[in-house]
Amino acid sequence: MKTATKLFSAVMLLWGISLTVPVAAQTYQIDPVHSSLVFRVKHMDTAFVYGMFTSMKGTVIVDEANPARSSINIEVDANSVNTNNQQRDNHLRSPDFFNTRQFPTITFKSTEVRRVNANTVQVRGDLTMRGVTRPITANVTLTGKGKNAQGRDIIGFETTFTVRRSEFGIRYGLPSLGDEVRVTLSIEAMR
Amino acid sequence: MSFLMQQILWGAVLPAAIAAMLLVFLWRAWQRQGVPSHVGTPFALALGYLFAHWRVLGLPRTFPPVDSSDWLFVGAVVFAVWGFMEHRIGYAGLWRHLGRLILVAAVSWLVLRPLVGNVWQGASALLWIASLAAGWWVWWSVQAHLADKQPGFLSPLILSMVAGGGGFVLLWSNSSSLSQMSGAVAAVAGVLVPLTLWRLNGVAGAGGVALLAGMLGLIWVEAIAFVPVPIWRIGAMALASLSPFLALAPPLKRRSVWIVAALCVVVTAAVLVAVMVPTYRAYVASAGAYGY
Repeated sequence: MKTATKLFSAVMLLWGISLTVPVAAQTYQIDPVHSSLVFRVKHMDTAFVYGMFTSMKGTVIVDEANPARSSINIEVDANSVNTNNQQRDNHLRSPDFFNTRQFPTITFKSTEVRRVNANTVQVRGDLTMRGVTRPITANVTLTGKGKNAQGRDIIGFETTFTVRRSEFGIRYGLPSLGDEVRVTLSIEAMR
Repeated sequence: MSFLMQQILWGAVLPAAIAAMLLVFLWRAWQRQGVPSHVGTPFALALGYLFAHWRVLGLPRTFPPVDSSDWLFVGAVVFAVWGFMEHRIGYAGLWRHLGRLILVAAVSWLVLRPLVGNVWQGASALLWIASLAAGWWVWWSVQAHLADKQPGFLSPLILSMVAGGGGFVLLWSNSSSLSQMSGAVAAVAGVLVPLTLWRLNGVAGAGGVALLAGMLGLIWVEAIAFVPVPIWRIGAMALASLSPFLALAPPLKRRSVWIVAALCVVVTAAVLVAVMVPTYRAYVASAGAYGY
C-alpha cells in the first residue's frame, strides 16, 4: 500500500510537471501531396483565371505555448506551375513571367509569428520570387490536427493573401493581365 | 487604344521615330563640321531601343542586373559605346575581332552565369556559354564584314527583316518580351533604310551594325538559354541574315542594286517563312482551341 501511494504520488508529480513546463516546439515537414498552392489573376479585366503550383517542400515549427517561436519555411518549385493549359504554362515559365531557368524556386521564410486568436496567427515573412524579396503579412488559420493513415502527427493550416506581381519584376501584360494575384495556401504538415 | 496598338506604339513606332529624329539632327549638326553622318548612329539606335525597353519592360531594377531581361537594357548602352569605338578609334582588323570576342565572351558570361548550377552543370555549363558566345561572335563578325562590303541600305534592311520575323518566332516560342525587343531592334534598324536611300548614304556604318548585331545576338542568346527557344530556330534566323552574301557573288555584281536587293529580300523572307510556319503550327497545337 505504501508503494502504491508512492507510485501514485510520483505519477501525479510528473503530470503536474507536464502541465506547468512548456511543451517544446514541434517540427513538421510539409506534405506536398496534401498541400495546395492556388493563385488567381484577372484576365483582360474580365474573369479570374486560376492556377496552382504542384510541387513544394518546407518546414513548419509549431510552438503552441509561445507562438513567437513558431516559424514556417516554404520552397515552391516554380517549374511546377499548372494552369491547365500547356502553352500558357510554358509561357509562365519563360522570362515574361517566372523566368524559371534563372529563378527555379519561390520561397517564403517567416520572420515573425504572433497569435491573433485561438486558431489564428499573423505571420510576417519574406517572399522571394524572380530574385526579388518583399515582406508580406498574412493571417494563418489552424484548420486541424490529428494523425494520418501511417499514424504520424499531422497539422493543417490555410491562408489567403494578395501580392502585386509587378513588385517582383513580373510586369509582362500589365494592365490587361491583372497585377494583383490572390494566393491561397493550404498546408498539411507531418512529423 | 487597344493593348496591341499600345505595344506597337511604344515598342516600334516611337522608338523608330526617336532614332530617325536623332539621326537627322546629328547629321545636320555635324554636316557643317565635316563629321561623318554615321558617327552617332549607334547612340541614336540605342536611344530608340532604350525607349522601347523602358516603356515595354520597364527600367532595370538593379545594377548590375540580376534578371536576364534587364541585361538587354545594359547591353544596348554597352553596344552603343562599342559601336562608337569601332568607328571612331578605327581598330585594325585583328584588334577589332579580338575586342568583339572579349566583349561577347564577357557579356555572355555575365548574362548566362545564373544558369550555371540551375540548368547547366559543371563542364557542360562552360561548353554552353562558350558555344553561344562563339556563335554570336562569328555571326556578328560576318554581319560586320557584309556591312563593310555593302555599305548601303542592304545590311540594315536584311537585319530589320530578320529581327522583325524573328520577333514572331520568339512570340510563338513563348517569349513575348524578347519578341517585342526584337521588334524594337527591327524598328530602329528599319529607320536606316529610308535614311540611306534619302541622302545619308552609309549612315548605318560599322557602329550601327555593331549595335544591331550586338542587340540581336544578345536577344537570341537569351532566347536559347532562358526561354528556351530551340537552337535550330535561332540558327535559321541567323542563316536568313546572310543573304547579302548573294550581292558579293560575281554573277550578281554587275546587276542593278535593286535586283540584287530584291533577290536578297526574297531569300531572307523564304528562310524566315520556313522557320515561322512550323513554329506557329507548334504554338497553335499546344495552345488548344481557345488559345489563352
